[in-house]
Amino acid sequence: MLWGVASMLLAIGLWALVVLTIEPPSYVLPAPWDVILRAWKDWALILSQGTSTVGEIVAGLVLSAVIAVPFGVFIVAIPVVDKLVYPILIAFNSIPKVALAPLFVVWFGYGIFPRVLITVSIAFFPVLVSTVTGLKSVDPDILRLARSMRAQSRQVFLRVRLPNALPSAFAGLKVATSLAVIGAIIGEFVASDRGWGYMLVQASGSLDTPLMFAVVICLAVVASLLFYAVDVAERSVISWHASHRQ
Amino acid sequence: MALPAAGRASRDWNPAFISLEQIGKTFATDDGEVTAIEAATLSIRQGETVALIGPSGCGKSTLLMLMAGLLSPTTGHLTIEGQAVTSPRKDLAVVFQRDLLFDWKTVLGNVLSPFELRGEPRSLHVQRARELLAHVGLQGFEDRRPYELSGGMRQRVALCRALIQDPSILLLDEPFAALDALTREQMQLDLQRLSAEQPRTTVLVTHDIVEAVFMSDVVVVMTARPSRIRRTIVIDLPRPRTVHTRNLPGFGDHVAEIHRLFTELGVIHG
Repeated sequence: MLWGVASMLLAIGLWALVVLTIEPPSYVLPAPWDVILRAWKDWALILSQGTSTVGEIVAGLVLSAVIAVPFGVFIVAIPVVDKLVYPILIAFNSIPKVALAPLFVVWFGYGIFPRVLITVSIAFFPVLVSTVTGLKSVDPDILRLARSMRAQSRQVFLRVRLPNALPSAFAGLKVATSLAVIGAIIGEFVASDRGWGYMLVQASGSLDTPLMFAVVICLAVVASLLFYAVDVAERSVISWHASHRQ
Repeated sequence: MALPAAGRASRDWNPAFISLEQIGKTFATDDGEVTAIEAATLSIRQGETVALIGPSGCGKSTLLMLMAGLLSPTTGHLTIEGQAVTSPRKDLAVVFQRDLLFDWKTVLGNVLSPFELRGEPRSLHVQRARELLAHVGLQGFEDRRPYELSGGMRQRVALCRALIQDPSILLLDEPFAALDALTREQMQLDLQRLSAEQPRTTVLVTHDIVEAVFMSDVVVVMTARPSRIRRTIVIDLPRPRTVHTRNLPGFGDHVAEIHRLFTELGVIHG
């Protein structure tokens, strides 16, 4: 924590140093104090627009996890689904999801729904792929052991495959956290009249660079907090995993 | 219902419990077929401890997996109590070389996992699980996770997980191979003690001559490629085997005999 604060102060110090030595125009690179003053002036606006963005990020992330994990279970549990559906999903994943955003506007207009949809379409796949990988990568000797115990396949799935997949699923969720932030911003670039993404587009139009900096910093803070929240959840759920042993 | 004392005295009349007749096993690999076992014939009597000993790659583990019903033979007949083995039997438990504990379960949870995986209630067996753990010196470790234990302790948990199923056949696939010499000796004594309570048929795969002689009533010497059973040696040392067993003259004789056999076979050469 102390180191975190120190590295933060170092970054801001360097930034201030660059501004003081080069003295760039404020619309190119504003000084840290310019950004703080700008944010201070419009803090109510930033906050109110932020609720919509943060809402999309959280909704997108939660929906991704809630859909992707059971879907991964479904794919692995039923071999036919694995063979039939998984290739389609992989193909769909290779589409740059940003390209879908204008399409979602055509289909669903400018509401919160298309923006959450874009977020989910981006954040969904890492969770799905890592869940599927985790479910499939059980030590074959453990499966042998289970057979020697005459284990029921349902129990093997619930009590061996599922816990075995948790570390991998959490790794996917962590990747999804940063992707959800990207998704929400893209959604607001393309399909919105509110939110931090929309603010960025507006501020860019009027060369209000200090405001853009303020919004970007807010986004970084939100993304970090979210990542931290997932990390805390991970620690409590898979405390037995090598990554969390003390 | 006293089981006959295992060993030479009972061998003459005690019928085969596990019977292997001309067992062969080949595996298909990318480079063609590989013969793991060729025409193995062996009979194991009820209550005996039999060690399969041989160099790496002699198919001894494969033989064990066949008895476990985890593999099926390519040729020959394998029966237990006169019944062909097609899948793992109810009264059988296997301990593998790696402990294969579930990282996410506590020590107690691991010992009770066979019941859980069969969809049976665990509650009936909690007391027994605690007793078994205490028996192998793991009292107080019930709520620990496997990663907090040493290799020897982990393998003891794996042993308890097998024994709680109260198997009449215990199959051990080099269970002590990964342990240091002192821990291994302690585990051998522990297993002797636990087996003395309740006689069971035990098949032990090992590449340790001393371990084979110490644990067994019969040692089956196998050779590598082509893998065959070379000789069956009856170990007529008194039971229970204790720390003093190793000092008996007969013990050294048997070890020397097997060692000489491996030298003749070219497994060990100067």
